[in-house]
Amino acid sequence: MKLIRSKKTGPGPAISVYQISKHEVEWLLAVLRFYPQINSDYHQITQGVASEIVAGQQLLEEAMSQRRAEHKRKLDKFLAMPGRFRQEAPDQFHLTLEPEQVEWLLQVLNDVRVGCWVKLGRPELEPMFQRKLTVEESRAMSAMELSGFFQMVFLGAYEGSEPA
Amino acid sequence: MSQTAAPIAPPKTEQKEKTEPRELRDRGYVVICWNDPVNLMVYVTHVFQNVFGWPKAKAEKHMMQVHQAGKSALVRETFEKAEHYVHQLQGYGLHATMEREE
Repeated sequence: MKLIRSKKTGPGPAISVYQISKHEVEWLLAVLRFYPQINSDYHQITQGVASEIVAGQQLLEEAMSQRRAEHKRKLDKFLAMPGRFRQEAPDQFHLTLEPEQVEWLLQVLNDVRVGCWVKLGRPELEPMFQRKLTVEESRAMSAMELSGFFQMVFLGAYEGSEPA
Repeated sequence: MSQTAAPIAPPKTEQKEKTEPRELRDRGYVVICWNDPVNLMVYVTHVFQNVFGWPKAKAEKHMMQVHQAGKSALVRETFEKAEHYVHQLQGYGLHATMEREE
Protein backbone atom coordinates (compact mmCIF):
# COMPACT_ATOMS: atom_id res chain seq x y z
CA MET A 1 0.00 0.00 0.00
CA LYS A 2 1.27 3.46 -0.80
CA LEU A 3 0.12 7.02 -1.23
CA ILE A 4 0.04 7.73 -4.95
CA ARG A 5 -1.69 11.08 -5.16
CA SER A 6 -2.72 13.90 -2.87
CA LYS A 7 -4.75 16.87 -3.95
CA LYS A 8 -4.17 19.99 -1.89
CA THR A 9 -7.20 22.20 -1.34
CA GLY A 10 -5.72 24.43 1.37
CA PRO A 11 -2.85 24.68 3.86
CA GLY A 12 -3.89 21.51 5.73
CA PRO A 13 -3.85 17.89 4.63
CA ALA A 14 -4.92 16.87 1.13
CA ILE A 15 -7.43 14.45 -0.34
CA SER A 16 -5.40 11.26 -0.64
CA VAL A 17 -5.44 8.38 -3.09
CA TYR A 18 -3.75 5.16 -2.00
CA GLN A 19 -2.79 2.19 -4.13
CA ILE A 20 -3.53 -1.01 -2.26
CA SER A 21 -3.23 -4.70 -3.15
CA LYS A 22 -5.95 -7.30 -2.69
CA HIS A 23 -4.20 -8.82 0.34
CA GLU A 24 -3.73 -5.40 1.91
CA VAL A 25 -7.42 -4.65 1.46
CA GLU A 26 -8.20 -7.86 3.37
CA TRP A 27 -5.68 -7.02 6.08
CA LEU A 28 -6.99 -3.46 6.47
CA LEU A 29 -10.58 -4.66 6.72
CA ALA A 30 -9.59 -7.37 9.21
CA VAL A 31 -7.78 -4.85 11.43
CA LEU A 32 -10.62 -2.34 11.27
CA ARG A 33 -13.06 -5.05 12.37
CA PHE A 34 -11.06 -5.33 15.62
CA TYR A 35 -12.31 -1.86 16.58
CA PRO A 36 -12.93 -0.93 19.38
CA GLN A 37 -10.31 -2.48 21.65
CA ILE A 38 -9.73 0.13 24.37
CA ASN A 39 -12.07 -0.02 27.37
CA SER A 40 -13.26 3.09 29.20
CA ASP A 41 -11.29 2.23 32.33
CA TYR A 42 -8.04 2.62 30.36
CA HIS A 43 -8.47 6.40 30.44
CA GLN A 44 -7.17 8.18 33.52
CA ILE A 45 -7.57 11.94 33.92
CA THR A 46 -4.68 12.37 36.36
CA GLN A 47 -1.89 10.63 38.21
CA GLY A 48 -2.32 12.98 41.14
CA VAL A 49 -4.92 13.34 43.89
CA ALA A 50 -6.23 16.87 43.31
CA SER A 51 -9.93 16.45 44.05
CA GLU A 52 -11.18 18.89 41.41
CA ILE A 53 -9.30 16.90 38.73
CA VAL A 54 -10.26 13.45 40.03
CA ALA A 55 -13.90 14.57 39.87
CA GLY A 56 -13.50 14.80 36.08
CA GLN A 57 -12.73 11.08 35.68
CA GLN A 58 -16.30 10.10 34.88
CA LEU A 59 -16.64 12.94 32.36
CA LEU A 60 -13.51 11.70 30.59
CA GLU A 61 -14.81 8.13 30.41
CA GLU A 62 -18.16 9.35 29.05
CA ALA A 63 -16.44 11.53 26.45
CA MET A 64 -14.28 8.61 25.30
CA SER A 65 -17.29 6.34 25.15
CA GLN A 66 -19.17 8.84 22.98
CA ARG A 67 -16.16 9.27 20.72
CA ARG A 68 -15.87 5.49 20.27
CA ALA A 69 -19.57 5.24 19.39
CA GLU A 70 -19.16 8.01 16.80
CA HIS A 71 -16.09 6.36 15.28
CA LYS A 72 -17.88 3.01 15.19
CA ARG A 73 -20.78 4.60 13.32
CA LYS A 74 -18.39 6.15 10.77
CA LEU A 75 -16.46 2.90 10.46
CA ASP A 76 -19.58 0.82 9.83
CA LYS A 77 -20.62 3.26 7.11
CA PHE A 78 -17.10 3.17 5.66
CA LEU A 79 -17.02 -0.64 5.57
CA ALA A 80 -20.52 -0.91 4.08
CA MET A 81 -19.93 1.49 1.18
CA PRO A 82 -19.80 -0.40 -2.13
CA GLY A 83 -16.87 0.55 -4.35
CA ARG A 84 -14.85 1.86 -1.41
CA PHE A 85 -11.86 0.09 -2.96
CA ARG A 86 -11.92 0.81 -6.71
CA GLN A 87 -10.32 -1.96 -8.75
CA GLU A 88 -7.73 -0.69 -11.21
CA ALA A 89 -6.05 -4.00 -12.12
CA PRO A 90 -6.40 -7.67 -11.03
CA ASP A 91 -4.36 -7.05 -7.86
CA GLN A 92 -4.53 -3.31 -7.61
CA PHE A 93 -7.15 -1.12 -5.96
CA HIS A 94 -7.43 2.59 -5.25
CA LEU A 95 -8.70 3.98 -1.95
CA THR A 96 -9.61 7.69 -1.89
CA LEU A 97 -9.91 9.43 1.47
CA GLU A 98 -10.93 12.91 2.59
CA PRO A 99 -8.66 14.50 5.24
CA GLU A 100 -11.38 14.03 7.88
CA GLN A 101 -11.57 10.31 7.07
CA VAL A 102 -7.80 9.92 7.37
CA GLU A 103 -7.99 11.59 10.79
CA TRP A 104 -10.58 9.27 12.31
CA LEU A 105 -9.10 6.20 10.63
CA LEU A 106 -5.80 7.03 12.34
CA GLN A 107 -7.61 7.15 15.68
CA VAL A 108 -9.42 3.89 14.99
CA LEU A 109 -6.18 2.14 14.00
CA ASN A 110 -4.43 3.50 17.07
CA ASP A 111 -7.25 2.26 19.28
CA VAL A 112 -6.69 -1.23 17.89
CA ARG A 113 -2.92 -0.92 18.34
CA VAL A 114 -3.07 0.39 21.93
CA GLY A 115 -6.01 -1.82 22.92
CA CYS A 116 -4.23 -4.99 21.76
CA TRP A 117 -1.13 -3.90 23.65
CA VAL A 118 -3.20 -3.39 26.83
CA LYS A 119 -4.75 -6.85 26.41
CA LEU A 120 -1.26 -8.31 26.08
CA GLY A 121 -0.48 -6.89 29.54
CA ARG A 122 1.23 -3.66 28.37
CA PRO A 123 4.57 -5.36 27.64
CA GLU A 124 7.78 -3.90 26.29
CA LEU A 125 7.53 -4.85 22.63
CA GLU A 126 11.07 -5.98 21.80
CA PRO A 127 11.03 -9.10 24.05
CA MET A 128 7.64 -10.07 22.63
CA PHE A 129 9.22 -10.56 19.19
CA GLN A 130 11.77 -12.97 20.66
CA ARG A 131 9.61 -15.36 22.63
CA LYS A 132 7.07 -17.99 21.62
CA LEU A 133 3.57 -16.56 21.64
CA THR A 134 0.23 -18.20 22.29
CA VAL A 135 -2.39 -18.11 19.53
CA GLU A 136 -4.21 -15.28 21.34
CA GLU A 137 -1.00 -13.30 21.75
CA SER A 138 -0.11 -13.85 18.08
CA ARG A 139 -3.51 -12.54 17.02
CA ALA A 140 -3.11 -9.42 19.18
CA MET A 141 0.49 -8.84 18.02
CA SER A 142 -0.52 -9.21 14.37
CA ALA A 143 -3.36 -6.71 14.76
CA MET A 144 -0.99 -4.32 16.53
CA GLU A 145 1.68 -4.53 13.83
CA LEU A 146 -0.78 -4.25 10.98
CA SER A 147 -2.40 -1.22 12.62
CA GLY A 148 1.02 0.38 12.90
CA PHE A 149 1.75 -0.33 9.24
CA PHE A 150 -1.49 1.28 8.05
CA GLN A 151 -0.99 4.23 10.42
CA MET A 152 2.41 4.87 8.84
CA VAL A 153 0.93 4.79 5.33
CA PHE A 154 -1.95 7.12 6.25
CA LEU A 155 0.40 9.53 7.99
CA GLY A 156 2.17 9.86 4.64
CA ALA A 157 -0.75 12.07 3.60
CA TYR A 158 0.49 14.71 6.05
CA GLU A 159 4.09 14.82 4.84
CA GLY A 160 5.09 18.42 4.19
CA SER A 161 1.89 19.91 5.58
CA GLU A 162 1.76 22.19 8.60
CA PRO A 163 -1.36 22.98 10.64
CA ALA A 164 -3.45 25.84 9.27
CA MET B 1 23.56 34.58 66.18
CA SER B 2 22.64 37.94 64.88
CA GLN B 3 19.68 39.60 66.51
CA THR B 4 18.90 41.60 63.43
CA ALA B 5 15.68 40.28 62.03
CA ALA B 6 15.81 39.50 58.40
CA PRO B 7 12.92 40.84 56.39
CA ILE B 8 10.24 38.19 56.14
CA ALA B 9 9.41 37.31 52.60
CA PRO B 10 5.70 37.31 51.92
CA PRO B 11 4.15 33.93 51.20
CA LYS B 12 4.53 32.85 47.62
CA THR B 13 0.83 33.05 46.91
CA GLU B 14 0.66 36.68 47.97
CA GLN B 15 3.66 37.46 45.83
CA LYS B 16 1.90 35.82 42.91
CA GLU B 17 -1.19 37.99 43.60
CA LYS B 18 0.91 41.05 43.12
CA THR B 19 3.04 40.07 40.18
CA GLU B 20 0.99 37.70 38.02
CA PRO B 21 -2.08 38.75 36.11
CA ARG B 22 -5.21 36.76 37.03
CA GLU B 23 -5.30 34.89 33.72
CA LEU B 24 -1.78 33.59 34.26
CA ARG B 25 -2.54 32.57 37.87
CA ASP B 26 -5.59 30.63 36.71
CA ARG B 27 -3.41 28.64 34.37
CA GLY B 28 -2.31 26.36 37.16
CA TYR B 29 -2.87 23.03 35.42
CA VAL B 30 -0.25 21.23 33.39
CA VAL B 31 -1.05 18.76 30.63
CA ILE B 32 1.51 15.96 30.63
CA CYS B 33 2.09 13.29 28.01
CA TRP B 34 3.68 10.08 29.34
CA ASN B 35 5.81 7.62 27.43
CA ASP B 36 4.60 4.17 26.45
CA PRO B 37 6.16 1.58 24.16
CA VAL B 38 3.21 1.34 21.79
CA ASN B 39 2.36 4.73 20.28
CA LEU B 40 4.41 5.37 17.14
CA MET B 41 6.71 8.40 17.32
CA VAL B 42 5.47 9.81 14.03
CA TYR B 43 1.89 9.40 15.23
CA VAL B 44 2.58 11.24 18.51
CA THR B 45 4.12 14.12 16.53
CA HIS B 46 1.05 14.21 14.31
CA VAL B 47 -1.30 14.32 17.31
CA PHE B 48 0.62 17.20 18.94
CA GLN B 49 0.49 19.15 15.67
CA ASN B 50 -3.20 18.50 15.28
CA VAL B 51 -4.34 19.12 18.85
CA PHE B 52 -2.19 22.17 19.63
CA GLY B 53 -1.65 23.51 16.10
CA TRP B 54 2.09 23.39 16.66
CA PRO B 55 4.64 23.42 13.84
CA LYS B 56 6.30 20.09 13.21
CA ALA B 57 9.60 21.09 14.86
CA LYS B 58 7.90 21.94 18.19
CA ALA B 59 5.74 18.82 18.07
CA GLU B 60 8.84 16.67 17.42
CA LYS B 61 10.71 18.34 20.29
CA HIS B 62 7.97 17.38 22.75
CA MET B 63 7.62 13.91 21.24
CA MET B 64 11.35 13.31 21.74
CA GLN B 65 11.09 14.58 25.31
CA VAL B 66 8.33 12.04 25.97
CA HIS B 67 10.41 9.30 24.37
CA GLN B 68 13.68 10.10 26.13
CA ALA B 69 12.64 11.59 29.48
CA GLY B 70 9.48 9.54 29.95
CA LYS B 71 7.17 12.54 29.92
CA SER B 72 6.72 16.03 28.60
CA ALA B 73 4.79 18.97 30.05
CA LEU B 74 2.92 20.12 26.98
CA VAL B 75 0.98 23.19 28.10
CA ARG B 76 0.10 25.10 31.27
CA GLU B 77 -3.55 26.05 31.15
CA THR B 78 -6.76 26.84 33.01
CA PHE B 79 -8.68 23.84 34.38
CA GLU B 80 -11.20 23.82 31.54
CA LYS B 81 -8.63 24.11 28.75
CA ALA B 82 -6.35 21.51 30.31
CA GLU B 83 -9.28 19.12 30.63
CA HIS B 84 -10.20 19.75 26.98
CA TYR B 85 -6.66 18.95 25.84
CA VAL B 86 -6.53 15.76 27.92
CA HIS B 87 -9.79 14.62 26.33
CA GLN B 88 -8.38 15.34 22.87
CA LEU B 89 -5.08 13.57 23.51
CA GLN B 90 -6.72 10.53 25.10
CA GLY B 91 -9.15 10.39 22.20
CA TYR B 92 -6.10 9.81 20.03
CA GLY B 93 -4.97 7.06 22.39
CA LEU B 94 -2.06 8.93 23.98
CA HIS B 95 -1.28 8.54 27.67
CA ALA B 96 -1.95 12.12 28.77
CA THR B 97 -3.05 13.49 32.14
CA MET B 98 -3.57 16.85 33.81
CA GLU B 99 -1.87 17.75 37.06
CA ARG B 100 -2.20 20.74 39.36
CA GLU B 101 0.95 22.81 39.27
CA GLU B 102 2.47 22.97 42.74
